[in-house]
Amino acid sequence: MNASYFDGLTSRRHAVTLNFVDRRWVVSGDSVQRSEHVDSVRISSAHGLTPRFVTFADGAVCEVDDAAGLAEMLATGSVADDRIGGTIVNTKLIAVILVGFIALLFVTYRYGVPAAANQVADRAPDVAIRKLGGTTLNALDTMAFKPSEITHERRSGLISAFADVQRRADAGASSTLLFRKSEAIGANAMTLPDGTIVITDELIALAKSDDEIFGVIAHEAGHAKHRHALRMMLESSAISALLSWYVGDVNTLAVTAPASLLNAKYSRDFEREADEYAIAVMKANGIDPSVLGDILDRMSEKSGGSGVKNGGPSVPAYLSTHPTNDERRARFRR
Amino acid sequence: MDETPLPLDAEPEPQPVVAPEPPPAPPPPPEPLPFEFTGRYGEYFRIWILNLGLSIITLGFYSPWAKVRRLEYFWRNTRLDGSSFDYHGSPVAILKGRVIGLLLFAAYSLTTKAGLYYTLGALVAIALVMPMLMLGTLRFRLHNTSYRGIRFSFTGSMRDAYIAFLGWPIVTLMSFFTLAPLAYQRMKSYEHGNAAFGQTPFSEKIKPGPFYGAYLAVFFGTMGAFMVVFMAIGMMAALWGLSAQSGSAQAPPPTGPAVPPEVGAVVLVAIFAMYLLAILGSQAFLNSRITNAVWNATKLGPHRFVAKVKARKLLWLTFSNVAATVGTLGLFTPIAQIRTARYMVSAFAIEPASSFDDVQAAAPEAVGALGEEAAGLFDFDISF
Repeated sequence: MNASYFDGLTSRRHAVTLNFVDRRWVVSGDSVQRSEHVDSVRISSAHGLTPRFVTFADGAVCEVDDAAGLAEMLATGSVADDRIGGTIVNTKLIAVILVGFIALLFVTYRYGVPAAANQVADRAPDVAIRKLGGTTLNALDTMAFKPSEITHERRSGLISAFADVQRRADAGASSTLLFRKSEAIGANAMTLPDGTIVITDELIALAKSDDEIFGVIAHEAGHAKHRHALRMMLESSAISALLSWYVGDVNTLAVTAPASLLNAKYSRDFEREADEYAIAVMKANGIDPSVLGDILDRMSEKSGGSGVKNGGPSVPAYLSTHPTNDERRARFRR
Repeated sequence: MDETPLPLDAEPEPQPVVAPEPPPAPPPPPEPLPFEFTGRYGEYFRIWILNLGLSIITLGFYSPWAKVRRLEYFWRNTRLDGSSFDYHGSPVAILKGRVIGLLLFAAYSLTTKAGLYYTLGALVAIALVMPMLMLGTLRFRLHNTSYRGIRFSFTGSMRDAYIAFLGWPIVTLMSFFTLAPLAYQRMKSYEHGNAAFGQTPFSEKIKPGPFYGAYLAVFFGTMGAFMVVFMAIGMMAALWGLSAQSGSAQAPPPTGPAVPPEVGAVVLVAIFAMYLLAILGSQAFLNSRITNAVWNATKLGPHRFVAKVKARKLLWLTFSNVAATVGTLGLFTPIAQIRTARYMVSAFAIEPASSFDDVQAAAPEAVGALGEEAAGLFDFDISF
């Protein structure tokens, strides 16, 4: 076959023919004649049709454009060729790897990251968790909260009543309840990373019965019990880190949008878990779970929630961090 | 004395009036020899998938071999005047370098626990060692590249490396970044001025002007993009309160008149795309201007390089690559790499002043263990 020969001392190109005969490489051209034993010659790796190099011990090299022809020559002469490079023509193998890789991505996202976050969250030292909770509360007190205007008796009444409710359903658990007034946030309740539950005065005012309040607190207690806030932080940083590494040399900006989308799904899983805890607590206390649905409806009406009324989702489902209210209402009515 | 009688009426031979010879025509400008990239999409996709599979199965252990295969593919598919380039890097050297790098990184992470001063100390240590590593990388990359059987080399001195990669960055900081383009130019001059192909040296006449021009344009362009984005976000926030608090029983109320959420989502995506476009656009502009400025001022012996990278094409290339890569969960990556290589390589050419036949090989020179492994250390991808 035709090849270009370079002696390694100057860049002059010699047009030659290359042959493999009797375990020897034979190069012959106008100004070049050599024959070398196969063992003293190195063949470059195979990359499909990419040019290949036959390198001699003294640094001279033969450049071969006909990669397929060279591979054939090697096969005919029973010379072991680059086995890894050779596999790229095996379409089935490539397809299998491709599918396997996509499956791996899916499994990591769906199960791998949450499982890892759970392990870490379960083992997180209490000290760290308390610290996290403290700083969050300070921030909220500065930005959004004012001291509660509910009477002390009413507050301690609710606290001890809920303690009973919770003990009946989940003997070991106990939640710290705090009350705040917040016009900015309105009727709502939230769980801090350390498990403290904050309830707004506006929510108490909106509730038609203590059972409704207990439903909401139970939902929050579900978040607390499963350490959702902590798991959320772990999962979202894991996803961001994984995406950045995976997307690699692409601008890290491109990572933030997909990361938010992916995080939203984890969030909905947490809401479902918290709802299920709340339903269990309410049932253990003989409370009708649908009261939770009632107060949620009232909360979203009060907030003028766009589009909820006719059963339409308030935001496209994949963007939403909360499952649609339809889903939740159905859950509570089960 | 006999004199040859002069014919008295012989007239002196008339001098023929000859028009002065026209000055020799200037030699026709040499036909520029274009660089060519012959990589194929399907072929490289398979190689990439294979590399991915093997790397995952070996938990990353295979990755130096994967990297060598990738560089071999790209080097050997880059052609000039009928011959291709070759890559000779050894996976073992890269592996050793990565292991060392990992250990160093672990040590650095530990210092962050030990306290601020330790971390600062570690950063200073890294800064002090960086020029040596950059030098090692350059020598490794060039020594492991060959064309027509002759290797490239990097002959820059350690002292000049420190000036370029430590001295100038310090100057940049001290000048509050006003001298940053100049510092970048000095680095490029160091890189291009100390390379050689066999015994034929590269030379450069790179000027700081184009660097300043490019950076100023990018600076103003990015500021403009930021302003537009902030204004748009401000409008959006006014129309539709955005916040999500996880852990609360109900998504908090929007503060204004309801906007159809589908529109809101579309606007969000549009703003994000605009921002991405602005950032990528600046990068593409910067990249193309500086690449052209640097290479058009570089020579290999008597041969001149010609670089004609176009910012607009590069921007479209980058943007579409990013969009496609994100949309396909990264599977578009090998296609994007081939696409980029095809365009970038085709934007280069060489104007040969003579034939390439007479380049002599340099004396064989061991790059030195530290050079090879240092290069592997931080895995620098210097675009040549």
